[in-house]
Amino acid sequence: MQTANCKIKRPTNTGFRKLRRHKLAMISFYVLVFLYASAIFAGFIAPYHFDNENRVLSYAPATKIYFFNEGKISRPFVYLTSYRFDEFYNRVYRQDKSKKYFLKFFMRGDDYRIFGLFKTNVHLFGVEGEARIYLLGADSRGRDLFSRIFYGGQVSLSIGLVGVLISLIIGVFIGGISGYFSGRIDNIIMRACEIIMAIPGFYLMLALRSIFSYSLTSVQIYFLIVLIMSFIGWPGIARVVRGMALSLREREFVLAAKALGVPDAKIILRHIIPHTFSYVIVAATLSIPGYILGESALSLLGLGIQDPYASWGNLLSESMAIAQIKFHPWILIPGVFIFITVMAFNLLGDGLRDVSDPKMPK
Amino acid sequence: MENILEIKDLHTYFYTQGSVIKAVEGVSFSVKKGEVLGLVGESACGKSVTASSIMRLIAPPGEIVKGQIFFEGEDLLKLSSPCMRRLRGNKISMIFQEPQAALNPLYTIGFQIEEMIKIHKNISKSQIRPLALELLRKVGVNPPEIRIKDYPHNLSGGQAQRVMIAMAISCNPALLIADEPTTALDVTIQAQIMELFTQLRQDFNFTLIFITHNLALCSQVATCVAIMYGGRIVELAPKDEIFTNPLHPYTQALFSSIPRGMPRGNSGKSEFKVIQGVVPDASSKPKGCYFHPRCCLRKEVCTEGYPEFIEARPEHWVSCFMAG
Repeated sequence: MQTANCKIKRPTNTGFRKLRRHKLAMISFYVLVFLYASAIFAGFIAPYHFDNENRVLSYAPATKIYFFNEGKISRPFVYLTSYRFDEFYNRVYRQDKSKKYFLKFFMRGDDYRIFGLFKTNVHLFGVEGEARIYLLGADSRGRDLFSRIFYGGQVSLSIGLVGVLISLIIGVFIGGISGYFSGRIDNIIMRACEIIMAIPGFYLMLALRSIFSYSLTSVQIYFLIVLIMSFIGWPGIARVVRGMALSLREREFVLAAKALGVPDAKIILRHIIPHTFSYVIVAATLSIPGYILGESALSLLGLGIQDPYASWGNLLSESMAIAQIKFHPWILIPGVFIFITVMAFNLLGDGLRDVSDPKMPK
Repeated sequence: MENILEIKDLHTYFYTQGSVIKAVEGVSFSVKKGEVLGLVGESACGKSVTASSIMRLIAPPGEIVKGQIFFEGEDLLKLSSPCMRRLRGNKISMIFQEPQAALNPLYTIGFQIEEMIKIHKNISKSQIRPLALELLRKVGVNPPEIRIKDYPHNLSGGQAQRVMIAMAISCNPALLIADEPTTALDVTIQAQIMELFTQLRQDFNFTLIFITHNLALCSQVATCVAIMYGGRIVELAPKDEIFTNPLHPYTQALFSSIPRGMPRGNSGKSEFKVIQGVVPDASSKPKGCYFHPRCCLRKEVCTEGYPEFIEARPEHWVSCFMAG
């Protein structure tokens, strides 16, 4: 009767408590929360719309922000950037120090929508007048890289989640069915999985992409990428879930459920699949980087998200020429974001795996 | 009284690599409505496989090769699998040996009982919860309002078995098969569970097939006892008859191996006998009567053929050349 007062321990609660103690995983978790939050509020954080270009400022370097004016602390301000050509007809940027342009917070600028619903034009910061602020420099068409990275994050980060979710759903169901029924159904499904897995993922991805038209709208391309990646991703999950289902179906509670007349579909859904979740969550976390990298690879090759829309992969595609990297090294920055995200997901996945491992000390 | 269950010549084999394991071969018996049949035998004699065959829960590589199982006049082996599924848990229910393992650790017991009711009964959602509470009260899980939110790991073995029983009887089954329901429990809890069975039988009026290897337990509840050996029933009789007048040498040996009283100190001899030898391997059973290598009465004839199952005395069936 003591249970009347104390909260009943749910099996899921203990896992999170153990994860708390896993420092690296927790840091990664917060990094990811930060990245996803920044992608959701990309429009607000970014001072410009992703397609707001100023061709005069092609490959302009990062704008200097001044905090001191003639030795005295002042409101941060920037100068207008202008350019001239040197003897090789390269642009040389310099600052026009005749007029100060002050940084303004919660400034009104380009329109954007939050969650695709609420239309607004308030940005975290910006400069007024004809001066522009490029925190991380500009790309070939004079668009703000900083803004484009956050807009690109919306695509790159969400593709990982959506892609994994779809392949998880497919993989878990098919794996569950395969393991539960075993026999011939199992055989057919597993051979199909092996066929897909036998083809190197990247070439399969390219081959699948080439089936579809080259000229698609970016929304269509987005879903196409998700679909392709999920198609490549599900067999791996299905195989392991099938293995777990094979052992779970011998467990007594599954037999008991059968003996009490629970239909097969319900046994798979209620009694088998939930028991694979500890594995599935870890597998999902560890496979998200693959999706992000896959999208980047496709976009890098120009087969994914198309300009003017941004994704981390297609932002990097500008840096494919060595000359560009030499003169404008900042265009590699999207790669840093990819690196951080992939690392964070891997570390978090490792942490989750440790937590879900029953052999780990509590 | 009419037979609720009638099994005729049931054969269940398991096909493993290179050998056929004849777990059940030629089992025939019938259970009358309201009766309690005690199915007794050593480990690996085919008790549980017989139960699973009745429920049609034999999965490959196992197969019911031959036989008929009539439940309320209908041959279960001829039913379509959806029909059979609807019967399971509804008309025929089953209780398992390890109650903790038989409950899904991820869900509250309330959820699991309610799931059962939802599947088999067509009643509105608001009625399900009171019904589940009522069931828990009936099986003696107290207080039900609090316990219903418990997970299986919060329960003791005895309570978990009570919950399993609640699930099994939730749809008023006509036949309940209890597969060694008290083996995993200690003796005091065993007694409580047995009492619960007796009480529930009055309330719910089901026929019970009680599988056990504990003869004492069997004598408590059973009205009729079937002794199994090597995948066959060797003796079948009403309880009083079989306990006073066992005909098969195996039954006799079983009875004489029940310990009577405690062996005193170091004075030496324990008072019970042991049956020499072991149960024959199901894939290589001896020729003739399966019991003959261990039988003290064996004759030439026992090694030649399997004795027929005959009614040696009224309602007392036995398969032994030496009986009758």
